[in-house]
Amino acid sequence: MRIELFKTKTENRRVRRLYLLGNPNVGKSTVFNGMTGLKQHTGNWSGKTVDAAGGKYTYNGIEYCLTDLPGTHSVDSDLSEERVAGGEMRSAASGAVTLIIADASALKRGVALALEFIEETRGGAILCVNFCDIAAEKGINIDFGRLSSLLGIPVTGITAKHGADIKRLKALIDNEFDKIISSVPQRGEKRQPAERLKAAEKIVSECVSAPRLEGGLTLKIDRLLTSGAVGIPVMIAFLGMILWLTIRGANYPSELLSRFFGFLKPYIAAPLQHPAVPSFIRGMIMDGVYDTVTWIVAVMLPPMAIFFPLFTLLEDAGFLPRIAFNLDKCYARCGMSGKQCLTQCMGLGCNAVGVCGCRIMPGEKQRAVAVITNSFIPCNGRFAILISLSAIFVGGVAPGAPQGLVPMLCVLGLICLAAAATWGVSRVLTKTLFKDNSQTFALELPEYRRPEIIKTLGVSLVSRTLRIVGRALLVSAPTGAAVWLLANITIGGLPLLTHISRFFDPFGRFIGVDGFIILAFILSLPANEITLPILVMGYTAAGTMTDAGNLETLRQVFEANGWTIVTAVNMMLLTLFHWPCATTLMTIYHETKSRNVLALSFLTPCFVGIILCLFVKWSSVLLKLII
Amino acid sequence: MGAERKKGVIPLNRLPIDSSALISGISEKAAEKTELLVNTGFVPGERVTPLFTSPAGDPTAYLLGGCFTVALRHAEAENILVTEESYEDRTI
Repeated sequence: MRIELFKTKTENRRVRRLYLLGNPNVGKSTVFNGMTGLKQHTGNWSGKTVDAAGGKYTYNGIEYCLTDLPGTHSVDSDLSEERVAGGEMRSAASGAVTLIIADASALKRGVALALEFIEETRGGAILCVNFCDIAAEKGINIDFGRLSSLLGIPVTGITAKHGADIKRLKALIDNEFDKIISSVPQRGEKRQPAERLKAAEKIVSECVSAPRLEGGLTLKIDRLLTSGAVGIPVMIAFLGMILWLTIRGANYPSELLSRFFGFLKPYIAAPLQHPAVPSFIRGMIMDGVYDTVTWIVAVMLPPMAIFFPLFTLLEDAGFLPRIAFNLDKCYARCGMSGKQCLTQCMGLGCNAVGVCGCRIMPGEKQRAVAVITNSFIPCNGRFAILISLSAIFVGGVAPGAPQGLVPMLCVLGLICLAAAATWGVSRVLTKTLFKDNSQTFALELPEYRRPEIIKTLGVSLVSRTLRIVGRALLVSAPTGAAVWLLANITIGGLPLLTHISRFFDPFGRFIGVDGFIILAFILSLPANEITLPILVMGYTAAGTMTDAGNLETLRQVFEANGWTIVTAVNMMLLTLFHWPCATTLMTIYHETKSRNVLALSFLTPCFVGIILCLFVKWSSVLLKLII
Repeated sequence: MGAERKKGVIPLNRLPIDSSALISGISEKAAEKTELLVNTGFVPGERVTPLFTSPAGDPTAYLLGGCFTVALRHAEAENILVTEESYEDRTI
């Protein structure tokens, strides 16, 4: 998510610096993306953008460097989430133009921020009033000329998702830039927030005519979603529906892809059949690299490509803060803020992103706890493993049930287990190592917005799914080759991989899995997506995966290697709780700069996983003894 | 008429759902949280209306200044002092 800030070279070329400032959730990221053509993901909740992002564009032969600052409540703020904005703002205000983005439906806040900016800094500013389309629907009328003369800065009304409005904004910046820079308006006295608010209210009352608002649609939906009888069941039903669509929907493309790759294999292998190519190279490329890579595409891509766009729609509509709101009491009991729920939702996509998102947590201690527990939530790589395993082993439990229903309930249960583990561990951590009672909870509930379905699907497919699969492929190709070598270099008639797994076998058996499973988790440290391919390669020892992506073949391989329902359950538990992948670990260190947090992030899930596996294994042994 | 029905200062968490009040200040026992609450939008003089409460009874969502909604826990809301408005005083 982090984009490097571009260094400006003002001495060589004409470069103009622009900053984006605005209260949370006023559409800054949309303006940023529209202007720079970059695809920073936008979400309808406060704190979505947690790091200052930079981008550039050229207009009329002049290069503009645009920095998107995270959502801020105020230039002079103390919250860690907001510190970035305040600090960047002061240092950057001179010589640059700041675009203050405001929501047309909540103009008073935007005007108050603009007043504060004018009082506190020496920079020039343009006020961009966003969401004019929504305001127009509500019957809100804004006199932009009057607003501009009252504030003393240029004001324009835009709808950031419309390309034409962005073009108009660029033209306005082009026209006004030098004028704004050269004529810094008169600075007033610094006022108290209450006075500033009154001034903003007065200005708004002079320029805005709005019909009396009768609790809008947002309020009606909110009252429904946050009522005890409807809210919680609806939330669970939503998640269940998404999971079911994912599991049902992923089957068909998975099988198609796997057949396609199987069909393609001989053609790709053909050039390698040349006698000059040593057979181990051929094996390594085709059975190691090709099979692993195509496995990941066939098995991982379809569920990701279905789940994440659907989830993004919920996110864009503004659904996630309501989940945090409904569940806050659970987090409060664990000494955490409900905002942790938002970081967990981000972790559902990628734990590295979730760890970055922990910046929205109030206070260093809560942030550390949220970082440590983030990998409890299965990221999409592990998510696909859970879906495959539950389809293989749990799908057949109730033959009469609609297809996909039982695996859906299984995955839903696992996510609830992950959430419960997060609460439990957070509670322990906040009572012991990370005690902190001084934090304030304040969660913004933005208005619901109609998500732009086509655009959202496109962006989330490209920015999330393809990028994450791309990373998985990059890691899986060399790992595939290495594992193939381990599986094919034999010592004393047995593959090296088997030797190593035998070392882990006693421990594996003790916790109800086997040595290969432990080894697969160790080897998949670079990316969780490759756990299953490694496992299958280990089991088949010859190093070939026949018909990757076919779940029935998978079941046969696993059953031939002595898997029982206990093995499958423990494999799923370990998939939830082992250790974060290498990327996440690096992000954790980068974010916290603390070896202790890093060590705890590694060991805590490991510990929880082993305890749960031991519980399942030994209670099943006891059960057998009794029966 | 309006002035007669004006009530005293109460903590925000005691304000009934859907009734509107003006923020009069932040309690002194929460002095260290004042800046944070003010920056969140709980500025003295601002109009505030409790809208709905989470299924567990806490937190509660508040409409601030008629334009945006923030959820606060009771533990925080009790530090915010408000003056109840009579119906006649209420304007949007």
